[in-house]
Amino acid sequence: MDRYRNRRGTSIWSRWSAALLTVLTVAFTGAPVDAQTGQITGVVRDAQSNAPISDVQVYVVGLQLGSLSRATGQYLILNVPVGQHTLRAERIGYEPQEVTVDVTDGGTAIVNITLGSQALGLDEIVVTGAAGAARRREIGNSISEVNVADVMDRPTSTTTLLQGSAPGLEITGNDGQAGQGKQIRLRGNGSVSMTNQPLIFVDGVRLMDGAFPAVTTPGTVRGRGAFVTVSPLDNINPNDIERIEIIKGAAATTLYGTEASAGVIQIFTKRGSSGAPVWTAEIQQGTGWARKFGVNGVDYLNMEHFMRDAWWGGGYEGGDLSRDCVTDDARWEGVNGDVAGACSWPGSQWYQTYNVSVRGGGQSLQYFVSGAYQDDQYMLPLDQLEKYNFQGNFTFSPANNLSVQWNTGYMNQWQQNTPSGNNLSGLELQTFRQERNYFSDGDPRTIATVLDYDFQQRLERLTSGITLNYNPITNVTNRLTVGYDFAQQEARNLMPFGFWEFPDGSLVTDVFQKRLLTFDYVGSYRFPLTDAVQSTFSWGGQAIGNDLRQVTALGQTFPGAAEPTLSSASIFRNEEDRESVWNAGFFFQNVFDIADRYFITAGLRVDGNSAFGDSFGLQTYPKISGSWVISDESFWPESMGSMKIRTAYGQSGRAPGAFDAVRTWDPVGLAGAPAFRPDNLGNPDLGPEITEEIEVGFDGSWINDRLSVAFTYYTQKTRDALLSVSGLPSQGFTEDQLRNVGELSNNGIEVQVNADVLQANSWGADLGLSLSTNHSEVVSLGGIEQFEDLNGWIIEGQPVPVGFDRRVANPDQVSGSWEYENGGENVVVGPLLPTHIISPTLNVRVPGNIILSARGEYRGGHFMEVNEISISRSVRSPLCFPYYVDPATDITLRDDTPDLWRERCTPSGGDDYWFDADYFRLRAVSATIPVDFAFPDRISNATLTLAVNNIWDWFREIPWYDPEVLSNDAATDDGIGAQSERTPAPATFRASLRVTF
Amino acid sequence: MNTIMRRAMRLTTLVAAGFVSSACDVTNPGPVLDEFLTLEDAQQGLINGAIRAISELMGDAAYTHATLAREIFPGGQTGAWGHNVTTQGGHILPGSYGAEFDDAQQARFIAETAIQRFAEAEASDQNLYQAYLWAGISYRLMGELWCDAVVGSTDPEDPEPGLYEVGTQTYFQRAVDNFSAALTFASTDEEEDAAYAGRAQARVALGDWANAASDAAEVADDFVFAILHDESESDLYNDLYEATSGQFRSYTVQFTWFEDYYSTGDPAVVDEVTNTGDPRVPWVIDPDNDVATASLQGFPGGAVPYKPQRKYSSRDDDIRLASGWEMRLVEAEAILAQGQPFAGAMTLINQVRTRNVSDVDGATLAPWTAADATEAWTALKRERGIELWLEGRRAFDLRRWDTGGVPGEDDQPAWEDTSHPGHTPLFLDNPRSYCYDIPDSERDRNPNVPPAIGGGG
Repeated sequence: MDRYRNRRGTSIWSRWSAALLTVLTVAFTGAPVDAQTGQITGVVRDAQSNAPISDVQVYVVGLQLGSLSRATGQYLILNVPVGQHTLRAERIGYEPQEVTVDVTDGGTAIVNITLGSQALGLDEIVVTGAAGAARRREIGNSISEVNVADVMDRPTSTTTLLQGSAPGLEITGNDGQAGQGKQIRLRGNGSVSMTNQPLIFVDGVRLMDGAFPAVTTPGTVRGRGAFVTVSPLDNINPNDIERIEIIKGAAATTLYGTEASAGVIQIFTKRGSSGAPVWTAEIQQGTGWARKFGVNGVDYLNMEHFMRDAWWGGGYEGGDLSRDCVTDDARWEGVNGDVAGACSWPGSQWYQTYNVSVRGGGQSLQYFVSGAYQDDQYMLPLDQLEKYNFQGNFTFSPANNLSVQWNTGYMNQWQQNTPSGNNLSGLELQTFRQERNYFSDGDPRTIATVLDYDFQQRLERLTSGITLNYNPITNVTNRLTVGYDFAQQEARNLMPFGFWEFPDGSLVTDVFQKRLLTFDYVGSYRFPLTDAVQSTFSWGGQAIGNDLRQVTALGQTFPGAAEPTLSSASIFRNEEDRESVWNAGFFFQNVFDIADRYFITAGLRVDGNSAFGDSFGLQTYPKISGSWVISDESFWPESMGSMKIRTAYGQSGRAPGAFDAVRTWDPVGLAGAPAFRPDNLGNPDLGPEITEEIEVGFDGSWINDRLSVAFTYYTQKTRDALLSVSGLPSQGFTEDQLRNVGELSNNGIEVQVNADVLQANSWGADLGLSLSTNHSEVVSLGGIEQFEDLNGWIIEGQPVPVGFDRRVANPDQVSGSWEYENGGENVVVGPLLPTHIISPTLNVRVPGNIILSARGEYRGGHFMEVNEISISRSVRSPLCFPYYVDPATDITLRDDTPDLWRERCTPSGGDDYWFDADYFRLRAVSATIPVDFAFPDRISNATLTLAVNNIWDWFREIPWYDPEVLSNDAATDDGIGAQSERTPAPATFRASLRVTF
Repeated sequence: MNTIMRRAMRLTTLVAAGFVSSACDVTNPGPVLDEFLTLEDAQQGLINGAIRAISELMGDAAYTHATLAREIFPGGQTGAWGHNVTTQGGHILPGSYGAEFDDAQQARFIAETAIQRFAEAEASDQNLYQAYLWAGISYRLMGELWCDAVVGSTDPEDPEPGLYEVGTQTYFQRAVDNFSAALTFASTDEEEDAAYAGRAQARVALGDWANAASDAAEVADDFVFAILHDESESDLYNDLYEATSGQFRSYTVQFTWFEDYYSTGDPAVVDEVTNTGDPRVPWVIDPDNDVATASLQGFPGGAVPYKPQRKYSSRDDDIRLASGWEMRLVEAEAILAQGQPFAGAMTLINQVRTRNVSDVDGATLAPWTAADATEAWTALKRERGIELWLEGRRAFDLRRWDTGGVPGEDDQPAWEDTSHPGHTPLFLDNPRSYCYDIPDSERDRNPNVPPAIGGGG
């Protein structure tokens, strides 16, 4: 500690402590009152319903003074200098309001404000994709915004919150495993070889995208583990999020340059507000139950034996059949006594979440601080999760022209998972296959052997960023963001001594670390070109350092049954990955503002990337867009509502991987000795793939903003698409080599409709509908052969990807054998990604201000191959039960089996499992009930939310399982449709009580 | 915008471009850059790369070719450590098994790269010997395991795609050339034995019996040369062991010729003729598992009785590439092939055989007898099948004997016969293969190689 003492002998810690104490004192109590100041207070209400509105930003224009309204609508701004001021109130979805107010020395000005809802929000400030910040009216591209306060069912993960929240956004993943992440895709697949997952920013700081890896046993076929891949987005506590902005294509992401063509999701966490501390506390308790995913009487594919019954004390108890859920399974009657019906509710879980936050502050420092604890037990016997989240956001305004925003989030998550997925020790694999499994035994007590496999991981994440806004002179702004995101996953994957698969024991310890450094500067200068034309010139630069480190150590063969470490193993194997990629670029942009209703934006981004080939150089990305607020024209009658017409063109890119450009050999090793094998052939000309996109659309609102529509048509083309060109095996380099040779296209429409269909004092109803279509095509493969990728095929003239497989030509015949179409060659089945997604929402307000809400999602136009039972290994598949002579023991087929099912149920066939994959899923139904009456007066707001999720679906053809179950690669994969042996997600019920005081 | 502003912008742009370029100058550790291979320190790593590729190849090929040659009977497992249904039926789908082709071609490519770079670097004789030896082994294996050849330049940097060749004669000829070159750098008896043995094997395939016998005669009886397998990672496993390691029970010795030849499995039943207890073809009964994993399509009852082999008893049991005893059999076969008196061949055959004692009674194995050349051929084929059991050699032997019209019994169980206890429709539905086909990964991209039509030999 000595080296931290200064010359006077005072510890630096104590000086910092004193300073911090002072800051907090000021922050929590408000700044000392200046003799020449007064205060402004009042209530903000909805203009139509007169209901109080919370979370309204009320501030004094030109001063760094403001406040957020509370649930009661009340706001308070302290220390306002004496004089006349303009007070402005803003909230997403409402038309901003400005009022003039006179503040007297020591006086209190009472200003009550009414806000009219504004569907278009033309004067709202948006940040993502703009140089600095811009009003919506200026922006030529579409931008979706999710206001978390409007999501009624209080989801506990950010990816769930986003599901179905915006047109063009597809979030897939529905495994019933603790911590399992989801795939995120915007406007289809714009790339074959590189990721299609969007970039993630939190308050301007770049976050790790994609997903944490599944930690498995190295050196084994398919690995061994649980195949759980946590989404970084789910590291963020949804309660800390204020809003989310989503830009989906190259027309909007140009200023993010290389890496951004898959879109950008930016999360804005809550900020402090002036005034006394406002506390919010929430407790959430939940349960759930397994949904039937089997068929023909095998409702849970025999997994009911292993499902937890956390609430009722039954469920899996180490193979004690008297306590297992054995409903409908008469085979085990008489074993260990009373058996049948021992569990009436298979798969019940227990979820607990506790949140507390406080926001407030003084004149120059506002704060938002939160903490959360989550403790979940899932339905699989070993699945549980414990998570802590902390967030601290501080806004410091030392001068009128300078503000500093410091946001820091920390997350610590521990989870344990049941071995799952397609691997030898996967619980579902062994259970689904019954007596054809690796034990040749379907007895759950035998299968339970795999549950000795202990798989645990701890995730830590620290994201911190400082943003300085400095406006030295009028019309000049500067914003500098420096951010750091550190994510760490430490996993232990233990097969204990005596474990059936590896009796001598096996331990994997894996440490995965990802560090992202963000430097982002943008400046702007606004100046008049003519009396009618304003020009805003922006310039800036961005550098993102992306550093990956992963160390995997495997130790096997332990001396005994003691708790092992790697050091006690007799056989070792280590793997290490270290990759650092820097992307840096700069840009210029100019916005021409003509009469505040015509806007033309032109910009250019120039990028370098360390993964580009030596011969490549820099890449430029241009953009141009236009916006016309036609409803501001004099000829536009007021009765026609508001409308903005917009169009945008832009380019952005996607960089190759860190090693793709160079010729390398793989240091594979040979039993302890060095060994090299040909790896990557290399390509010095390798550059990014370039996506260019044109968007055309409009935003309109009518009938006093009760009906709003946002429509966008987009067409995008990816040229120089990075495709894996396979080398000639006979020439040694057998690994695929990336080349910029392909061309892909995507086009579609996106429609967002919101209708306020009923508005009365006690009743109200809002209908929402988002619709998106996506039609992708492989325009050119640049002369290379069609190939498999994205869990499908990449074929010229076909969607990205397309199903391409053998199909039975005589499905309904009963001939005793089957014929394939096209002489047994593969035929095109159809797109594997949904071509249209429709997400309806409904909010109904009933007397007592109770809000009933529902949201669902329909996906269609695609095909899926669904067969998670290994027919080729002669496993008795419940799908084939109607066709077996004796389904209980044998796979011999009845003579009257239709030829399609004969193919499907015969081991040498087992191929044509393609189904029209259209389905609808009711994602959430909730009731939000004000319960202020049950609390003392000092509780300003109390709300009880009851929500059920994932309770109903409709499938056009899919006969079983769940179309959102992911492959072993789960959220790290880009393809959908490949499934693994997992248990689909349960239905859940959660009750949340939230109080504000 | 005034002049100063324009100049400021230009300067800013230049500075920014410079920053962008310099910020992206990153060198990552990990994969080995190509230029590193020119260093002396890298030479052994390059040779080891070829060895590893062959280890991976042999792990798969010995297993798959055992299935084709009916040295083992499939248990029904199709995924991990199993074969697809058609391979279980003894058929190689045209254009399949690309990974094995990659391994073989990489082994050849690495070895030829080593030859080229070692020559440029004036490497040691030891390293040059290794490079030529493994190039020879690569070519010999490609010749035996594949039906047809893709013949490219021996210059690894030559970008021209290889030419298609019916049969694999060029592979064997190149094997002979490389083994001959290796001999010029060999410095120990073991090194010479390995090169002579490899050249003898290649010359057998070429029908060059006189030179094959002369090479074989150079090799000591007790010489053994094996490819390394290792339990540190699954790619290096001895697959034949792993597929019978307990949790994987992918095949069985039941119904093969070797089942009864070794033992009835029942100590109460002693058959002096067939139950030899020959220690070269051991199998056991697994007290914990009486059936194989999964089940075989069409097999009565589904699950197949499980009798695992025990020639290999761990993941890191090496598979022999050549041995002195094999060379004695090469000499014996050369006698028969050249029409010389068969008694000389029988002497050599029984010399190989009678060095073994029975696992059943501890007695020396009884020698084979032959009344004529045909019976001598049967003894040669049988002894070769026993000596090289599960070493990936049998399918090529059956192929070349069939092509050459060699007399004598092949000891092939008739699983196509509906009355045979190992019968399933799989063996009728799938025509037998004896070698790998050139995979689609090569056929689709190499304009000189025609599309797969029948394949599978």
